[in-house]
Amino acid sequence: MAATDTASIPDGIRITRMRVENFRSLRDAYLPLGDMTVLVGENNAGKTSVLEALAVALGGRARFTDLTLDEAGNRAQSFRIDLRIEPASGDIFSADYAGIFGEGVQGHTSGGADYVNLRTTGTWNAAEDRIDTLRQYVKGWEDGAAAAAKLGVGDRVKTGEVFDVLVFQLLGAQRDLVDQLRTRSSPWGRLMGNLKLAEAVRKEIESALGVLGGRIVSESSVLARVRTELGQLARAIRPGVGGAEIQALPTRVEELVRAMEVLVSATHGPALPIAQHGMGTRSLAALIVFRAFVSVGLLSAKRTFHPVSAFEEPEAHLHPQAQRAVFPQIAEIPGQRIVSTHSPFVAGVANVFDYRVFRRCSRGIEISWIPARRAGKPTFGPDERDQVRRFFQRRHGEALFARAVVLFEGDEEAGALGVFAWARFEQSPDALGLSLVGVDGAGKERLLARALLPLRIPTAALLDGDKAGTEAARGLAAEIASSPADAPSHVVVIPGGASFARHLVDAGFGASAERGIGKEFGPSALTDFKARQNHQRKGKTEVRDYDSPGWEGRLVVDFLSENKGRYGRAVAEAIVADAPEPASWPVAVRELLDWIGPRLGL
Amino acid sequence: MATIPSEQQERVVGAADGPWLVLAPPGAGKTDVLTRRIIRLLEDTPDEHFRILAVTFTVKAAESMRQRIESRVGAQWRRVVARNWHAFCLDVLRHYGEAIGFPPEPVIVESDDDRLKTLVLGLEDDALRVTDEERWGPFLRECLARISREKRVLRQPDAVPDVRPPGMPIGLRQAYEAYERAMRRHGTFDFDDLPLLTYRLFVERPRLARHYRTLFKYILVDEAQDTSRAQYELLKVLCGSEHRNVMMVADRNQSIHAFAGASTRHLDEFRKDFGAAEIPLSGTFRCAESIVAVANALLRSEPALARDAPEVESETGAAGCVRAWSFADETAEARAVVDEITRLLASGLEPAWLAPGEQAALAPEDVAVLVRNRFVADTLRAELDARRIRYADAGGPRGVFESRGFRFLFYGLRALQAPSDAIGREHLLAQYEGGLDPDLLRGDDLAAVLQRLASDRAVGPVAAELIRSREGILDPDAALRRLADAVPRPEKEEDRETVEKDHELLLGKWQAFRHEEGNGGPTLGGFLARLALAGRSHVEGPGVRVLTVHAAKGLEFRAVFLLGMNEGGFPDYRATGAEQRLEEVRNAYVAVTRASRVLWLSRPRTRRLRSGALKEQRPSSFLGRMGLPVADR
Repeated sequence: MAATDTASIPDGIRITRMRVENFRSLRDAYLPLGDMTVLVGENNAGKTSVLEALAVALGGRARFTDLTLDEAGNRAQSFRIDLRIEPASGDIFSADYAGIFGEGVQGHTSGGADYVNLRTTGTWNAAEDRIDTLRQYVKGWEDGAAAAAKLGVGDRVKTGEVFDVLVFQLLGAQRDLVDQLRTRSSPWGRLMGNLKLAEAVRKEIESALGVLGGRIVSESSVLARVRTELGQLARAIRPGVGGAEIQALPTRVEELVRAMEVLVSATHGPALPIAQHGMGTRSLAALIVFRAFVSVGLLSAKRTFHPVSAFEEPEAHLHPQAQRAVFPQIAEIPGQRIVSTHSPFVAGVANVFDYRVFRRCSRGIEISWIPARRAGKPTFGPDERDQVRRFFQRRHGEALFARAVVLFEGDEEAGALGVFAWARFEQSPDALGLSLVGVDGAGKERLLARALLPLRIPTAALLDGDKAGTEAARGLAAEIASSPADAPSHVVVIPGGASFARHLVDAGFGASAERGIGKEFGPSALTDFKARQNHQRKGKTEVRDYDSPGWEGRLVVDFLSENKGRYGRAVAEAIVADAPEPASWPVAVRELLDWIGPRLGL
Repeated sequence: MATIPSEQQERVVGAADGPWLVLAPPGAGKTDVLTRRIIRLLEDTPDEHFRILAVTFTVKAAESMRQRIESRVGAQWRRVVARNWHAFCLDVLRHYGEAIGFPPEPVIVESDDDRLKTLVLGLEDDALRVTDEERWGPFLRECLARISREKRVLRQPDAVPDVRPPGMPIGLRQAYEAYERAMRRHGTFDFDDLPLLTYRLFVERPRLARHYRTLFKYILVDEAQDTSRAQYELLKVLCGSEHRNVMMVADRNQSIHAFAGASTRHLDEFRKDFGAAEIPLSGTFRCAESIVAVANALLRSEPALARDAPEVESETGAAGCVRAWSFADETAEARAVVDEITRLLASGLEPAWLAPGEQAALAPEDVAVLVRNRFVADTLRAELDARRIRYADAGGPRGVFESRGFRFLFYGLRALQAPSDAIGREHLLAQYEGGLDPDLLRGDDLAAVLQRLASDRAVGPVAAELIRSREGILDPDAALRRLADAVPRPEKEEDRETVEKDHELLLGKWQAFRHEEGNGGPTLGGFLARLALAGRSHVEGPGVRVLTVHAAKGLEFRAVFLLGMNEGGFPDYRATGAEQRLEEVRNAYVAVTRASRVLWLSRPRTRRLRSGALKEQRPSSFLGRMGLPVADR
């Protein structure tokens, strides 16, 4: 992605923050923007409103319906959108951007780079039945609405110049290359409008077109006939006129290419016109054309160009495989990109730090993200950042869409909890929006909580009672304590210094566990394990003796802890079958489920 | 101006990036090449957005440069910031001056009378009542002149020696401090504050200077010989150590603003500080041969000046006409001059004076009467009035507007911006002729004053509009139009005509300002401050020009009448030191080189003193230095 960072465009700029008031569903919203910004969240949580607000703030026309409608059905009188624009690198704007923004440039102090606060105010003009849009530079920047309202305004924005270089494009959910092929104003149409043919080449092609067109007419008996008839008609109307001609082909290349077709072939199959493909291919093709459009714009004669591309649900019409493929395509588009998505597949490829999570709550719409800095320091070190990013990318993109996340040391606990939760809440964890995540050993919970809590995702963890587990619990508690109270959190440590397997057996479910093992690993698995392991060393000091009284129950526990990862579901299913009443389940399981219930609104 | 591009001129137009010092005599087309260079730079970079700062000497010069560029390059002219130093500083301060306490909509004190009032108010804080104008006026005015000089060399009050002249109530430092204090309290600023504060802003906010030097890829300074110390230091801090695309265009022999802190020394410093290479321009495309001969003779008479610049050659192909006369008294002089002007306007210039094919007809605006001191032209103005000949005067004492109604409007807007400005308030009330007792109004706050005045017959509508505009002017254009429409039209026809003219003048200036600011959103505050800047030396409207030599700087006329050529008049009697005498020669040089075809020099042999007595006058030594025989008439 480095090749398309705004910082890599020499002397570039970046829109770093955005504030929206009374625009569609956004009463009072603030969010930071990066080179890539991914907007996730349920329907009607304001994602599309952000894209529309950006479109208006970057030169688009506003409509009456853009004004927020309150619960009582009243429209707001005006909306306000602030964009903060900064140099992509360094602390001052380049000569070009300084010239474009003029006296709108702010800052000039040692803290932070210079910036521009571009404010768009839309006011309903009842007399003219339209929105009056005022674009001004504002002196200073405030993230909050109240403080922002008090800022002084400066010059009007020279819109012609600014939006000539700060170019916004929205690729909507309804995109379709077939439509684009016939529309001049579409990215395709605009690309084809200027083919940049050398003058000599153009002449050559266009004269060849003339020859070809002439041949079509002369070789076709139908056309020859029509031509004669037309000639007679022309002479009848205006005597002395020589005749009528038929132009079988357009004489300008640009007109010709309006009939252009895009052929796409699958791996094994003929190349078919795009119109004969499904919506998935057509919409993906539209995206690729869009990418070409932006790249060509950037490479064209204009040196100064900052494309801002917005994509509304790029996964629409695509099957999961293609959904994964679409994101890297977007990532390669130069400039700043803002993507709204519902797809964990798309989101799974993105970087968790680019997420803006939208939620409806009692106060309206809430947008959250992982802050780059906390208490004056980077939230994550470079290595930590990488770990967190990879964790969500590779394995648990869906956690970011969850209504609650529970972190476990291993997958077996996660699997078991899934079964318990299903039995207790009578719905699958997926349907509940519950994400159960094994983190591969104690210790990573802390990092993940640091990412999840600012996103306002309720997060719990189940940790073993052993040394590593209690240490991890302590670390996690400290993490939670130092985080702002962004979301509810809970840490369960298995009592009695026990592991999860031990805890199940201690709770009296040894027999159930044995049945579960039989089911998952085969009827003789436990006997085989005992035959193989009995009287062998366990650790440094112990020798196994599964037949002695002191080793009661140890066989099942050892088997489980030495077959991690697999057993969770089977053992939990056996327990639930034996004891359908949740009140009789192991205490750690009960405690977790009791915490989860209210988080899911149950 | 004739534009036969010389090789030298093309060198300036096409000169590569880097620091350049262009030295040229009058009429060599300095402003012209500068303008063409700017056009060239714009045309070379159609896809770029950097700006070019072109510093001119007057608002008017900036305006005509802007027009010329716009007619050549269209919308690209917006990349050019053509301003005089003060207007440039005002722009910077209005946008970024808040960091050092400069408001976005400042009130600029234009007149010396207001500056004097400010000083008196400031001294009252020190429990010093110096209201006896007769007694202290001259001293306080001298203080103000000294304060001005200190500001122009960037000296703050604490750097000024604390000495009280014998017999005087205060010393310079105390006066300077009191003056500054009163200005800050009233929220006002004077012209000298503009470069000084901008310099301070750039020093305190180095990144702002860095922003500007990135923005202005090219900086060009016209009439650079008259750059003051503060302005030169400002240029240096603006450029830092990186910016070197600076071109200064100057004529050493036209340096006539030493009283304003200007010095040709800055040209030498520029060469050193910036490593600037020199490009000479020789030859004048303005002055005819006989006029060049007179100018050269004047230069030759002064070794210090002759050393600085080679003699000029006329490239016009015109012979021109130079005459010198003496008259019995000022009345006779004025009469003869007006006779000659009338004759020239009626029958045109004689073909013998002109280049082949040159147009003989003369417009009133092609004719200028120049004087060293403003009062010398009093008799002439009376003569022009008596014979109903239209003329345009530089900066009348009453500011921009003629009618009371529009002055009320102007000061009303100003008062809205600086409600604590007591002097502005005085001006506002001075325009009021209604029945309310001004003393009653004086004590109230501005809102209350306007409320009272709103019911007044004479100014009520304007006051009401002013109150309305206090609520925040979202649409300054509409607000200004409403205000102008609200000004009552007097019944007397002459008065009504004045009001209509002011109406036209206000909206015309507003339109020009709007055009210049583009859709960047002109504000009323910015407009008022700009009006204050322009009010000083703007000559507008049709008619013969009557100007001081200083106001004529940078201008040219086909016929120039230089009056009052007596010893003590020109050279000025106050010029006693060697450097001042030298500057007088430069003044004379500037004066004669304003003429392109006809130069008339004249002097009254006697002058009537205030006492009524007639006094014999000696002819100006300059006449002899120019080698001109003077014929008595």
